[in-house]
Amino acid sequence: MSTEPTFSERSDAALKSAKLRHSFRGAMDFLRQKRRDAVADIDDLESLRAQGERIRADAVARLPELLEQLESNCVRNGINVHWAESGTDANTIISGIAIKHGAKLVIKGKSMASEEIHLNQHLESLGIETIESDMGEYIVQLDHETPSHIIMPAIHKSKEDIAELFENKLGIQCDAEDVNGMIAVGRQILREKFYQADIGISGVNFAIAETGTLCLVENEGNGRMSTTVPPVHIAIMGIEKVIPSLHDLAPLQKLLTRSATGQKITTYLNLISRPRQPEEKDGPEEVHLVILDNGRSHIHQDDALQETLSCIRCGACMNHCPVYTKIGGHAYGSTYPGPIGQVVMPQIEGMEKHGDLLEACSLNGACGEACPVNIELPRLIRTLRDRKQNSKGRLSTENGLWHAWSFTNQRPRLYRTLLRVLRLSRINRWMFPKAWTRSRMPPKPAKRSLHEIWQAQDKERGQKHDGT
Amino acid sequence: MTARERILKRLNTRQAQQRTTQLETYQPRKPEHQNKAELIKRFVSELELHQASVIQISQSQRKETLAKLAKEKALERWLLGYGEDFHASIANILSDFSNSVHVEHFDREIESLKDTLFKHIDVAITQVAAGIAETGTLVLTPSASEPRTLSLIPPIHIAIIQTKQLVPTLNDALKLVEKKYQSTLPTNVLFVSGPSKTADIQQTLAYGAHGPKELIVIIEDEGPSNS
Repeated sequence: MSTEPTFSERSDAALKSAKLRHSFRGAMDFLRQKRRDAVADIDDLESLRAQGERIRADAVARLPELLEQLESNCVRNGINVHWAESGTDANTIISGIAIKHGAKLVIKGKSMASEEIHLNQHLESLGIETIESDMGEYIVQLDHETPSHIIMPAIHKSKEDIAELFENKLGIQCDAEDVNGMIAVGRQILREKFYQADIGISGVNFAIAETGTLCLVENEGNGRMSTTVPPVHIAIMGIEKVIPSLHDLAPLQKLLTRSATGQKITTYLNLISRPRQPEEKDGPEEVHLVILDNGRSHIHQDDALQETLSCIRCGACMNHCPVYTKIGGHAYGSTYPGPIGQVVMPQIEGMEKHGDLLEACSLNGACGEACPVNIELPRLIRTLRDRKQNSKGRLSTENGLWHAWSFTNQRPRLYRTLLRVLRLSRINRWMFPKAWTRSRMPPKPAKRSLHEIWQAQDKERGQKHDGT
Repeated sequence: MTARERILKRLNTRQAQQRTTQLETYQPRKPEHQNKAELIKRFVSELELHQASVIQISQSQRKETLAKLAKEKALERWLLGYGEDFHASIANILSDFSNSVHVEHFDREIESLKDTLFKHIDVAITQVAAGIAETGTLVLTPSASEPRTLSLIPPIHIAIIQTKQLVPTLNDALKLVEKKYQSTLPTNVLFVSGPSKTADIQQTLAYGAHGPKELIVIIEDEGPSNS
């Protein structure tokens, strides 16, 4: 029996933590306001979203063709291309490159794909020191945690938490109010790592098939550092991140940065097309692109769920999800939390492992409204919930109850009889399972049913009652 | 079958599914800042919003502007690219400054310059390929004569841009790049929109995370000096 807490237990714990709820409330309000402000300047936001949707849907539809074109152009440019079917394969490929170069230190720019495959643990197990260079990721790594949000990894931590962390783990006294000071500490430590690193690893925000180019967006500069200073650069990318042409980048970049951090553009947008050329003075001598499948090609085969692959990993859905706002990212126990996590995780790691995440939904639809490329997240969530339900078997209690309800509702006389019986008997708390009564009162049947009221009204008005 | 073949095979099992989305051709609203003066105005205001410093001068004022900066910020150790007229010109200007000003040229591979680059440079100065008014963005295409790390590692980055290099939007900049390079892009194309920053600590903005702490943009007008 697993001693790992269940999703239910984790959410419970999260809900009870006033501190966590306060952190997330503050952060989510901040991010939502920033996004609202950032999209206000777009006259035709809906038109932009439709274009983003079209570019992504088209790319997903033409995925094999675009990936082959990307590979061919990357190779022409001098970028080594590797294909990884599973996370394990990707880890093997990456550590293979590291070992070949006798690497002792790897510095990482931000990559959710690398979190998905647990790359850091794999490299560390081989004795290769792996340091996160994004400030938020570095903080989270120092505390032996995983990110709680795909864009702002340390969103669950307060200034005080971080000051304390720096003191405990780095032995450096920090004033919690001096954020600039703490960032300066991070800068100094990580600068040394950039200098020493044998390998830099990054993700890819978009890869352009037509030109064989990797596009990265960031504010800090750690992405540029990781992909420029070390002699070897390895980029890992999910198969769905490819886009056809350079000009497709403009609308997608506009949507991504506004949705993710409320910015018109990030400090740096970096387009990498080749390793250091003979006459150039800096840049990696070797660039590798690892194309990661890890279940995505199976999602591609599923007509109803293929849309999942349009995701540009902006985080807007989780920022607007009332459930995520309350319980935070760690409660999900998955690489990707929030609505996109509910859709991706059961598909790439199995319904058995992550099916319970589908319960974390109030079916409010905010995620679909927020998605910059119009992914119908609510529909995808409902589809998966449906599949999960159908896989339960006709004899399950829940299915039994639904069948009973459906049976009764198709037989009006039986329904009305039952209603009368219900009204006569008194409903007590003990009739309901604890799961209900813990936070709800038992329902109280009205004195008259809607039909009876309606019938009486028609009678009053002298109208024929048509209550079939 | 290799992993590649297996993956592509799975991806090819469906006919290209075009989801029928209303194809809306996105027509960006014509930005108001179309003429040169408006482009400059927008460019400056966006850059300042991002906490970059902006100095507008006529080309003839370059020397005194750099002298002023060198003095105000105690900039002694300068790093430049190598091989173009621009570099010779700047080196010339700087050589006239006080004896404490030292000029280094990025004329050899980073491996033999790394220590200097990381620890002994106060400021680096570069040209740009273009500037985007809509977002206050510099477009850089690093090359053999102006390496990528010039605009990344030193704590202060000075960029010199001519007003004629300004374009209205990112779309326009990408079109320029596409036109010039077709499908063979340079090794690296960089879009820089301010000094390095982060809000990872409780959403509180701080500058100088890993890239330059300061970005200084000198806008030079080729024509008569603008007011």
